[in-house]
Amino acid sequence: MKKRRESKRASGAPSPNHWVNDIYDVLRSQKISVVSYVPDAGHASLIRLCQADKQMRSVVLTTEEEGVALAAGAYLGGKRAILLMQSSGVGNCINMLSLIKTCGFPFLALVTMRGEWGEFNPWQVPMGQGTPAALAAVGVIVRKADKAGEVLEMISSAASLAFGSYCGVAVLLSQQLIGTKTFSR
Amino acid sequence: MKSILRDRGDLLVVAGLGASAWDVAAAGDHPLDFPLWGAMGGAAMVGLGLALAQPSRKVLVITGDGEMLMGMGSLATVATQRARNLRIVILDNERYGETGQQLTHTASGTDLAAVALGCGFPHARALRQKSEIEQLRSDIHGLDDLIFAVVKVAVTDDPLVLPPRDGAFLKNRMRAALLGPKAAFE
Repeated sequence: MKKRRESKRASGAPSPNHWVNDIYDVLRSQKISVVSYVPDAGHASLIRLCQADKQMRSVVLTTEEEGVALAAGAYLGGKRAILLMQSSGVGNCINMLSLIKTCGFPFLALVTMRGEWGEFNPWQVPMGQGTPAALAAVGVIVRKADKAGEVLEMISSAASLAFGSYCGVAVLLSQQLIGTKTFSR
Repeated sequence: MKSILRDRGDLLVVAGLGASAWDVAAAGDHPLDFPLWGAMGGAAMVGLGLALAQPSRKVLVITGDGEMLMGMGSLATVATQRARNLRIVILDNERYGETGQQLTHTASGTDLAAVALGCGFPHARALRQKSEIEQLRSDIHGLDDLIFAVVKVAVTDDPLVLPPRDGAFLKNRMRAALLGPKAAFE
């Protein structure tokens, strides 16, 4: 595995997106063709890549739980899906995730974390801190990437676990990795 | 329900929890039915996922007013995707049927057909007469566009026919019927 150089990060700004390309490459190699999301700044580059990809269908959601049901329906029809969301959105998914556990649907989510690293918006903290326990409470396996260099193997192994072993897997991308949001212009 | 599903051919059916699922089972449980026993608010999105994955097949979501109200936002998501093979039919008895017949919002004026139009559905119809069902059935099979229909139904005490409850069985059964035996190895 080629070792990637850690991207140099300007203070307060998100790092250049080698790890985003890693994720996109995994989506392609794992033949994930349905990408649903409520947009988050941390997913903006990946969403753009998916929207530009003719092999993928990008589905914008009004609330994140829709992406759980969408993934189940896609799998019934023989297609693989991924749900991109922020940690705040995890809280909107909890009962719908019962669909995954009950029926044994493969399910893959990518969660950009808030409320844990230099967070200045207090409203992000409860669900940011609650995300791992909330997901685990309904039977979703939780993995976390803290560094850019971890992302490729994390998402690749998570996808293999989800689709190979018919389980729900959420990969959390730490706030430290994404870059803390600043509200200066 | 029997009228809607008459000569169903290779129609894929997702049924929302409660009376819709019982009615679909009563019409004759079928491998291409996916009756929900939970995931309230998710029926339309399960249907959308199926429709996007199988663009050459017609996908019918049959659900109740209470279930659709819980997933009202999904009507915007569905309309935005404009899956031309997807049909959403609401059996609207204005009640939460499984919990004591409490009135839903459609009993006091919430108009799900108007909601669908407002969300961007190309058209939406409300049916009040049995005679209108045949046109709906015909359109379910023949119309090349997204369909939304509200069927106003009376509160009746129909014989209870339960579909299978085992979600893994239902998932595997539908996949096998739709994708063939290789689906079990994917």
